[in-house]
Amino acid sequence: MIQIFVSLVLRAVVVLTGTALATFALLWHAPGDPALAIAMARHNAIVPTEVIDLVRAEAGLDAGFFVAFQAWIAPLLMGDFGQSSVTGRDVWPEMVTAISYTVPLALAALFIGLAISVPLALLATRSPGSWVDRGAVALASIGVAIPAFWLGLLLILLFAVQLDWLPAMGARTSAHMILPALTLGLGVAASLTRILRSSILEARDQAFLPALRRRGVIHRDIERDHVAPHAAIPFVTVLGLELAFLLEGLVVVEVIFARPGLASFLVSAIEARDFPKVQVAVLVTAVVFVVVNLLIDLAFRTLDPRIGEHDA
Amino acid sequence: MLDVDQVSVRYSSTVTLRDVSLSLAPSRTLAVVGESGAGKSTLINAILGLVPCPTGHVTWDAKPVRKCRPALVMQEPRSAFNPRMSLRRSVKEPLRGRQLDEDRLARLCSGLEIAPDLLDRRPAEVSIGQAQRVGILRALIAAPPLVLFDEPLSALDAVTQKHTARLIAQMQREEGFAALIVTHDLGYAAAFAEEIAVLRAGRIEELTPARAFVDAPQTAYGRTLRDAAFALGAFERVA
Repeated sequence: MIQIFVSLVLRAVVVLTGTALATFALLWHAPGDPALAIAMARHNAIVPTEVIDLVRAEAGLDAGFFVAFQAWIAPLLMGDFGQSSVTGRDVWPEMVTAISYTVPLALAALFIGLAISVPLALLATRSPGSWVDRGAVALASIGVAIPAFWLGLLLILLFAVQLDWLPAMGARTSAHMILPALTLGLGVAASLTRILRSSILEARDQAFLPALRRRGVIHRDIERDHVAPHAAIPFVTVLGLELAFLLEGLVVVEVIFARPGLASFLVSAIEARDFPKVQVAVLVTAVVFVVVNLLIDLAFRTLDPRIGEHDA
Repeated sequence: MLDVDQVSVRYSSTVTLRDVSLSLAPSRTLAVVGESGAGKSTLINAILGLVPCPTGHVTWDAKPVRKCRPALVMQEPRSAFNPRMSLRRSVKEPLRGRQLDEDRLARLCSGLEIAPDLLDRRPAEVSIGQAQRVGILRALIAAPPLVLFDEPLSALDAVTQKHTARLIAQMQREEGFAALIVTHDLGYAAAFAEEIAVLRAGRIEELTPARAFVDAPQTAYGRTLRDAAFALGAFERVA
């Protein structure tokens, strides 16, 4: 077990280092002069060449790629995320504020996704081919096909403009979270329903189940001990992938609903070529991915002990 | 005592079993033989209560058979186990949450020639013969009074067949369960059962002591089966 954990952590270190290097390289080599972008964002006006050179020197952009990368990564390893190239303020507190808006939204969307998909898939698979099953499949297909930005606008039109039940913009109260969470959650629910339905049906088709039924093992025990663990494996895989799509969807949804959060943090930082801010946002996202993948990997090994046996 | 009384089973418009009656006392062995499609597996399903019997009834000591928790040994040993679970976990399943008696497990393992560490493996990591012996172990772990064997040897090679047949007989002597064996292997039936029931098109054609059946079947169909088995050397192979 310790060996498995060490190998997973080593893999995580490689992924995080690669992510840091790739993001830095992309920002460095992006078209346009990063010093000019920082100077313009800082002064909000056209700036003389001397100021641009000053910014270049301050931000360490004149020292070359690897020196600049090293100057950024070395304090990071000590827990110092640096200061914004534009405002000069510490990046981490700003990042924490952004996350405090984004994480509850992501969790609410995930909750909505699970709260809809699990009962719906269980209901659909009670009698495959019935009108309930077909209805669930149709709903899920529609849900997967509708992009988040369009669904978000439709929900705003219905609940904010026509019915005037819910606020459409901002993040002042918890009511402000309902529409964005629904926008993301319905998409998650659609893909999770589809995969859970098909994996339950596949799990009920396992070769050894008729033998269990003949031996008199009761339906509830078969479902709990033999069907559920088998069906959970593709479900957990897609749940992990959904988290990736959720982060991607969050950027769109935060923009549509004018919510502060990771999206506005990241978009403004990229526009200003604010290296420390972009880097910290990308790294935090990468850490989330790595941790989720680690948890999925451990979940797989619990659900099916055969997985990863040869790693040990 | 198992009592199957005038049982008929019908699948849609096809009658699969017609007025089947037989009985089986504790510690005794009854072999049901017949060609494919004769209704042998349906008979097992009817005894287990898995198919509705519109007429007749099946009882163990005058109570529904399910109450005595009969055990079943299947034809395909590997597909009878969850491939994700260790064999030990599968073996514990019939106990339904009750504590496993380690001494009984050790005794049964020794009787069935199962090495203790074999149970820590998964079905794909053992041979078919080993898997079938573990299947028998699982059937016997909860000490059932009645064990149904559905073609228990047909997935095994000849040497393993003979060995497994002897182990089943030996376990029956030690455990005292009643064994109903459904098979198309007349050699095995004649060597290990006290009685043979010949099933044809859902009917019991004849029900005779095994020795008498080998010497002189009562019906023309019985003779055909016996002669075919002689021609294939079935009686020499298992005996």
